[in-house]
Amino acid sequence: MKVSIYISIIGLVIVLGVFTAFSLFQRNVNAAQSTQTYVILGWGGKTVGLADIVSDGHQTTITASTPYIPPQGKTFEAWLVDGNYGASGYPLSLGQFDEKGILRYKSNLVNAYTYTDLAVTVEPKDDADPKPATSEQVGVAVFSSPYGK
Amino acid sequence: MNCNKKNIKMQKNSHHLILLVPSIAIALVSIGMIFIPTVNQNAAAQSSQQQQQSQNANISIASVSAAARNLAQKLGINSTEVSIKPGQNMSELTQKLAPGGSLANFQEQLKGLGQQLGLNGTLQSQLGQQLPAVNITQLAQKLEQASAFIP
Repeated sequence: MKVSIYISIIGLVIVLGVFTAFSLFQRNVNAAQSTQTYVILGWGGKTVGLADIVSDGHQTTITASTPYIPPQGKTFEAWLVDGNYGASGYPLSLGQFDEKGILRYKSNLVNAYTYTDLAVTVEPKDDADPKPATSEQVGVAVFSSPYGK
Repeated sequence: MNCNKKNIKMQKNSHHLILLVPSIAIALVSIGMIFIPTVNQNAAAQSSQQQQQSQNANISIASVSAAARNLAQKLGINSTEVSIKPGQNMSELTQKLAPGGSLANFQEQLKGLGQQLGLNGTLQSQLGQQLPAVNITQLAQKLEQASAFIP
């Protein structure tokens, strides 16, 4: 009788141990952070800028820089695009570059890895249109894995 | 006698009126013939402009991105990822962007693709005129400094 109680307790401890280890492992897998730098290539044949993307799939920080100044009355706006087949095609605005040519973006996204590209467009200052001016796109950065899922 | 004079006057006036009405009509038709085609031409030009604009508006940013990625794959480039972190090989970036480098080649092809897709060429050349060449090392330093200030 006593032996069976001991065996049950040991079994329970082992099960609990395995469960805890597995959940910790899962958490680590989810928290794996990717840090990547991309060149934003210009559609006009010149490099438009660089972008740093740090993400664990959710917590995402993007920093981008450009040496260019937008035309008078205009501003550079960056977008995350999920251009995969069957994806929404919805562009997520990351905001505008400041007067020093820097863009900073931080967000807790549902799934950052669905995005495939970063695009830079030229938009009017205080633009009332929330959509990107596609024909005014000046640069694109094409993402690699783990993006584009 | 007076009545006859009045009648003659009225007849004369009615003759004038009879002549005036067709003249006005002819004048109006002539004006119409001159102006309506012009107005139509303007309307046609405007509608073609609107069509062009709506065609441009119909190109979604996702399809432009997809076109860029397809081109990259054709050229054997998976992405525009580079290494610029401290301690990593900075020359990889400069090599890729140097004439003949993989990213430089991709960028050159993007130019042609952008023209095909109807991206604003004037805007691209305006930006191009701002800087003869981008100093990529300085740009990388600028990015590094900016990244350090993320709260």
